[in-house]
Amino acid sequence: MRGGTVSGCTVRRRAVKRVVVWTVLAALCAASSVAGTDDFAYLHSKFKRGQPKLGRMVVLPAVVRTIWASPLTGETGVSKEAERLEQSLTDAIVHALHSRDAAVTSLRRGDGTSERDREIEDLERSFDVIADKIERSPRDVRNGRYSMGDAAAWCCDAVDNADTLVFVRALATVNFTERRKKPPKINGVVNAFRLSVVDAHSGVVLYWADLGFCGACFDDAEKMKEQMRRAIGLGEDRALYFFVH
Amino acid sequence: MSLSQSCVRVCVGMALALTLSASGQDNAAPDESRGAKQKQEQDTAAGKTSSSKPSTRGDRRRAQFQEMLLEQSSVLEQHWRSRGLIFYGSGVEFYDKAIEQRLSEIATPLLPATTPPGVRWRFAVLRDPMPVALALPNGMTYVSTGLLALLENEDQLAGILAHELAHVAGEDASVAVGQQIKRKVKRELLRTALLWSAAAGVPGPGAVWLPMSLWSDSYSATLLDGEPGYERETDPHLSALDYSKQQEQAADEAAVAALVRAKRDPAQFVRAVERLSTPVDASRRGADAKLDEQWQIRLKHLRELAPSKAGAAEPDGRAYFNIVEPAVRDNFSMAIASGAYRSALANAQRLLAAHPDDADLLCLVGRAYRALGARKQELDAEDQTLDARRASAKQEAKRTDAELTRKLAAKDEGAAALRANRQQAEAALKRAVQLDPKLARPHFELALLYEDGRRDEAREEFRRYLELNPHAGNRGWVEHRVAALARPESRAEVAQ
Repeated sequence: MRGGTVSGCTVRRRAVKRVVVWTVLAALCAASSVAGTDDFAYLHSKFKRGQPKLGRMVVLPAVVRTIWASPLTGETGVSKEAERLEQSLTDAIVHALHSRDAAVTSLRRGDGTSERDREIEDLERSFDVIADKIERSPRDVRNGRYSMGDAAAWCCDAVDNADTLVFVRALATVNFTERRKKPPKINGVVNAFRLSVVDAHSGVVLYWADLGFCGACFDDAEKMKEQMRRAIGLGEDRALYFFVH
Repeated sequence: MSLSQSCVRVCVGMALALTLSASGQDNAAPDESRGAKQKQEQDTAAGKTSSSKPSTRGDRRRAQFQEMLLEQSSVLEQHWRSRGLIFYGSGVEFYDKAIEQRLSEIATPLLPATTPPGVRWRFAVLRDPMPVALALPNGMTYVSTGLLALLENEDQLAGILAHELAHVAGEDASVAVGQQIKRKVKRELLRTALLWSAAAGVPGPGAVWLPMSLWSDSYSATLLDGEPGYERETDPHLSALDYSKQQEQAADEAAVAALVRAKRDPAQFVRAVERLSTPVDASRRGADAKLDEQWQIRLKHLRELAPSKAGAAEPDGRAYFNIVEPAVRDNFSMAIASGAYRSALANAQRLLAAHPDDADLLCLVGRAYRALGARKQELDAEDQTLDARRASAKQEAKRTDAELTRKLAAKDEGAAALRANRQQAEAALKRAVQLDPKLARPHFELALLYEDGRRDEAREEFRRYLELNPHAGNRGWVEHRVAALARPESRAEVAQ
């Protein structure tokens, strides 16, 4: 009997302990997920203090790294699909910003032969250099640590009169549902995209967001556009709001 | 990675290996017919081709890889032509007919006697400040603007081209792919065997391997992207161009033979490789001991193949520079954008040496000195050591340009370098103003130089710039900057 009581007590204690442990774990998970959703986008502190909004935005051509995971050759770049997706993504972002009454224009990627194309490419290159640094500590975007310097000053005709520049980088994967057929049927998803807003005058990075973005099918252009619009809408509510309101 | 995943991967690997060997046998006839078709096309397009038929199983498999690579090469070629990327984060082709024509002329006497099926020799320039050359398995050969800016004469360029052509002629990429697949299958088999042994409780290496395997799965993903000399976003196609040490040495030997045949100086090829192996910007090349060792082995082998002759006349570099000058000019802005400031300065100085009284080029020199900040103008022997390069790469990756300048300027050496660079920049820009008082650009550069600390002078220079160039494309940008300078606070932090 005594042993049974002891045993019962131990069982109860263990049960309580288990409940406590699980509760703590659940609380930690919840806290981390809340922190995660808050922290995916970083905004320069000046905007949080309600300073005036920025007007003219120029969206640079999106760069989408599109990968076909082949069992034979490993990851393989798929350029045509990437081009299609880049255009759709840029259009979707412009559309989303327009719907908020922002003054937005987008730049089209040329054939690479003109001086303007080279200027844009150099601007993108400058952004990529600073983006590598931001990745290490994105929180510092809040205090205006990162700057592209005078990079925009050399890109005269393309981005003149712009107050902010919007850079878009995305990662997408595709599967060929019927391999070796021309044109192949493609089923793909955009895994994630990164949106960054840079002050065109000072080069300071004002906004940095890594937006998870699953399920945008490429083989259905309308569906993809709608899904993108919704995904961008989420980002907009969180941070782009500061620019356009 | 779970056990089941691992199993699936091994099954896929084995199935692939079996499929490859089976399809190598089954598809021999179609391959040959396709090869014959390609040969016919080749005959019409470029002249002679090799007519060797795959006989053994290994040969057939290699032919299959070659066919796959040819297909992928054309995809990659289109990719670079239209939107650039991804090699070294770099750009689209640099279109200059004169340079492409000259590349073709230099390469023609270096071409191998027989051309593999499906190969068509073409030459192009990539916009990339990193000095690189590569040839796709379909014969499309690229040299970067950074490489053209680094080399001194045509013999050096001929050596680099001959080396790349040798890789294509030897179908090295298909061999490399075969080796990669073999390594992958072996690795997967070993990993699964050890995982199973660990799961079954068998003591031994499996117990150690289990956590390592879980770790290495994520590690292998970074390895794929982080090969020495490759940037994070390297196109995976290019892993096929990751040649072995033996392949590199064989290509060097073939290149030296081709150079002798074409009456070019092979010693200049050695000099080109020496220049490539010496970093101009410490952090821009991978601080990797293995890579350094590979360079040294290659150089030693090359020096044995083509010893330098004492008193031999240096080839004239002026003709070469006249041809590649547009690429060097273009490379300057890319080098600045990529943070390769010493390379940018070297480019600007080289251009200025060719045209000493060109005010535009003086502006480039001024801009390069300004961009250098508190960095030294040239790396000395101490800065080129592996440890110094590692430290420099770490600093550059971690800190922004402004932070790095502040950190370097806090030391006496850095402060002296900053002063010297600013003085040199100012001197070059003022000379540009003297040479061409109506040129607006030097005033713009001077304004940017004066923004730190000499605000009134900066505003005055901006004003002069707009006065001389009232329709400047960046007028809006300048006006905004002038307004920001007029405010009592420091530099325009956030444009409002």
